[in-house]
Amino acid sequence: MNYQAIRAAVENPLLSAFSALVPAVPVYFDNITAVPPNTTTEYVRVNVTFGITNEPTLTSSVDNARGAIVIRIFTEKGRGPARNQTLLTTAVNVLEALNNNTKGTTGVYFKVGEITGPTFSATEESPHFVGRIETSYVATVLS
Amino acid sequence: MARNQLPKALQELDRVFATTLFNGPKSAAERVVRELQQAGPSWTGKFSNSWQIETPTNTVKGDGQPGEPRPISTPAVTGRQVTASFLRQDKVVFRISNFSTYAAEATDEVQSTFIRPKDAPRPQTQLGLRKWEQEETTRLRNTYRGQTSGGRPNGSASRTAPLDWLATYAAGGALNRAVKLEMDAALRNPR
Repeated sequence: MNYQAIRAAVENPLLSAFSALVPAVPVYFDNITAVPPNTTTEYVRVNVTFGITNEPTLTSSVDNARGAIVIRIFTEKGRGPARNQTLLTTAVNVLEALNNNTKGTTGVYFKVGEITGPTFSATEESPHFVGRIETSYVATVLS
Repeated sequence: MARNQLPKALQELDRVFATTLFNGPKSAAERVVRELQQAGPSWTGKFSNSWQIETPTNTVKGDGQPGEPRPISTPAVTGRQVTASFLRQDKVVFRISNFSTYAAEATDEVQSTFIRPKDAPRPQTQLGLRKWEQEETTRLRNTYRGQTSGGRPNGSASRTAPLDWLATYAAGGALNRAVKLEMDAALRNPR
């Protein structure tokens, strides 16, 4: 099992997509807490979790990891949902594009399931309006 | 078939129909709740005892009280009741939800400010104590329940379930496995 390769399969395309925006939107992944706590600056947080690592079959144990991807988009509160939804669209496009990849003989074959959300929240104390989507994934390590 | 055997056969069919179509998902739903109780946070235990299962015929709730997780059980039904439910709703639906007032915080749906209660400075359940993860920093002011790091040093932020535990449970295969296993068992052994 190659957890790093699985993470990279989803994190790299998301990082590229948000970095390509003008202005670029910072993306924070698991175990990175460099988010300024009291800022109105917009940013994206991506959490990749692992539910199971392999699936035993009748003939062998397949390295099929399953888990969840949760993407939270933080934009300025009090300015409507438009900007948040624009950034959510970027994230959704990346996730949907992952399913266009064909299965090769090496690397990681990554497929996402249905995308739930977005759900939106804005608490009184937080300066941010938060949009959240989540999806399941199955990643097969081929080599 | 002799005419006087027909009512008995219909009764038997009713029983088998209820078992295979309802009691498989019913067992699965009960098992899912048990697994959610184990996977989720547990400090006082109120959250893990606030799950509910909405069946085609009624809703069964946990008691919402503190303590170790207590399983909830849905009553068995007859095939006729299941049939009526099918006709009304297209399919049998078991909705599992949590009626705790802070369910959104517990499931990492919304940010909040987390302050440890003075009368409960540590998890009050054995389950919570087993899963208690402590940091040596404080929490950020507005954060998700599962995000315990990032604050000032010399703190004691903690959690009893990882960030996005519910999404992981739902997406990670455990839910599908529970439903599939229970359904398989029910279809193999109609009683």
